[in-house]
Amino acid sequence: MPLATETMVLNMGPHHPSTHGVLRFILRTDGELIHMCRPDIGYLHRGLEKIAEQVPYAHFMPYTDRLDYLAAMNCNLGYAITIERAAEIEVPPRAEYIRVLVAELNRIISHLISVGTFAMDMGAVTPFTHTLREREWVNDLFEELCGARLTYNYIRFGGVAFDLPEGFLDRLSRFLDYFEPRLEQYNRFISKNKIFKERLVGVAVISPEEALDYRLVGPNLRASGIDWDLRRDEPYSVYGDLAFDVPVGVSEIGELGDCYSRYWIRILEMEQSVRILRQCMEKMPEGPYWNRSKKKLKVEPGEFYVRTEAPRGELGFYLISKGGIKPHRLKIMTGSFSAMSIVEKVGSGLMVADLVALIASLDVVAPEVDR
Amino acid sequence: MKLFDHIKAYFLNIYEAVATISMGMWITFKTAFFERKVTLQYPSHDIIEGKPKDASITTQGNLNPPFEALLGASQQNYKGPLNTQLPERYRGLLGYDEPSCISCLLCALNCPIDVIRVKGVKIEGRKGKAPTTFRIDYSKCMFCGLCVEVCPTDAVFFTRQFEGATFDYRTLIREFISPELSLERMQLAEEAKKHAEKEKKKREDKETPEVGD
Repeated sequence: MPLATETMVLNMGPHHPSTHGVLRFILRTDGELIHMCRPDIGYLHRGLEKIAEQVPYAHFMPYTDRLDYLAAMNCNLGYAITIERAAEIEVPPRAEYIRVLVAELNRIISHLISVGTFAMDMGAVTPFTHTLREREWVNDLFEELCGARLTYNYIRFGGVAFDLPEGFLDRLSRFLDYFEPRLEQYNRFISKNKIFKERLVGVAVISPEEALDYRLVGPNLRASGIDWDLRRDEPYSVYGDLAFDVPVGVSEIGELGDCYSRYWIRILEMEQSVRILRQCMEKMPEGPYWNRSKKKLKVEPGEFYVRTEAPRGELGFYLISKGGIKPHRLKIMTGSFSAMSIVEKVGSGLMVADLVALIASLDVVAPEVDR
Repeated sequence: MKLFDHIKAYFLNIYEAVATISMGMWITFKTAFFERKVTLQYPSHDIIEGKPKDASITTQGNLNPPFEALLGASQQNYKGPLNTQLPERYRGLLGYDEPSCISCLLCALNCPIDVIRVKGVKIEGRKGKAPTTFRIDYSKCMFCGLCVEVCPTDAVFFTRQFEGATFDYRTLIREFISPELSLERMQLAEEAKKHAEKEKKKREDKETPEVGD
């Protein structure tokens, strides 16, 4: 006679080391098996969209740092491009190259955190210390550039706040020379590790159709085999002049769209970012870095939508202006938020330990989910 | 034949696991023992010697020591990849230079969260207005640098101080102008105003001829 079993409701989070911030998952479990998994978000809601309606356009720039604090430069860039298109502000070429340079540098360190915490969630603590070591170097470069290590507030409407300091490009190239072999070392260190692979291959597979249906963006979408990158397909800034490949997930190791391919895409993207950085350094033009206007910024009435490719995927700013110095409404679309929506679909049927792998592989950052 | 393949796969699997794990272990070992250390026991230890430094700069004693004192004299010996010096553009706690301030209110207007509060009065012998209140609420400041960027006289600037932890948040609200100075300036301005009014009245009295009844 089989024993009668009941399902149990289990709270994972809000304070859980593997949820990368304050996220809560309500699980209905049968032993180790998850029957239902529902993310409960909103613990880090700060009302950024409402704040945007109450401060002038330029004052919202420091708040975009807090949107996704691991990729503050990319958030700055997305917001700056939105307002520039709305107010028709010209950007000097040097500023454009500096912007791409800092955005790609920030993409590298964001992916480093992603890869490091992914390995840590899977039980390998040492890779995290290795990735943080590289990140510190870039943080030092950013500190030299704009004075801050995390919340940069560096990009302005019509350019960037500071020119590159003297010798910055030399120090950057020294970092890249150091970083490329390190990237290869990560592969030997963790990517090719048999236990790591066995743990992730075939876990939480997201098919291309599912990825599109749930609006996965960025690396998560590409890991499912959809070839879509805004930097190449809708080039903004100077991405059109730069040569780079868009890594797309293949079923070379494991299955298409599993946790391992989402991990592997990020390693490949870092390689491409290094390539973009080298081109930026080569092509860096001389000239002014900030087309600064003395007038108070006003935006004509209208609706504008600009999307850029941030490390966590498409970052969209939807601006409704009714004239004046403040936006009527600013809606922010983030990659982490849409990644959360698929957790319920893919999470049910997994083991509890595999859910940790799924969340880590989606690379969600809690403040970006809640805004 | 099929059995042989199974056996081969079995042992290949074991070989692969052992090989990749020992590869990872070797990298950990190499990094731990043969590579340069990049971490620093802040703020209590010396970078090179790894021993506790002078106790006066740790918890008790001076709460806001200069950054150079924290790193110690041996910072020149540090050859790691990280910066031991604060860069030129470092955004530390906000500083204020009273003599050059003209109370133009630009810093206060450009602050997204009303960290700075300025009031000023017009007095003799000073360009612009003389500030009577200049208050910075460090507990709110998010170091965005918008105020420093717009200041026309560089009266607001970033210091290189970054240690502002206290036990009471009220100590983070800092008045840069003492109440005595503020009062003195207010009185001066009041007197000047009265004086100007008198002058104006006199002039008006002179200009308009008195009408007798």
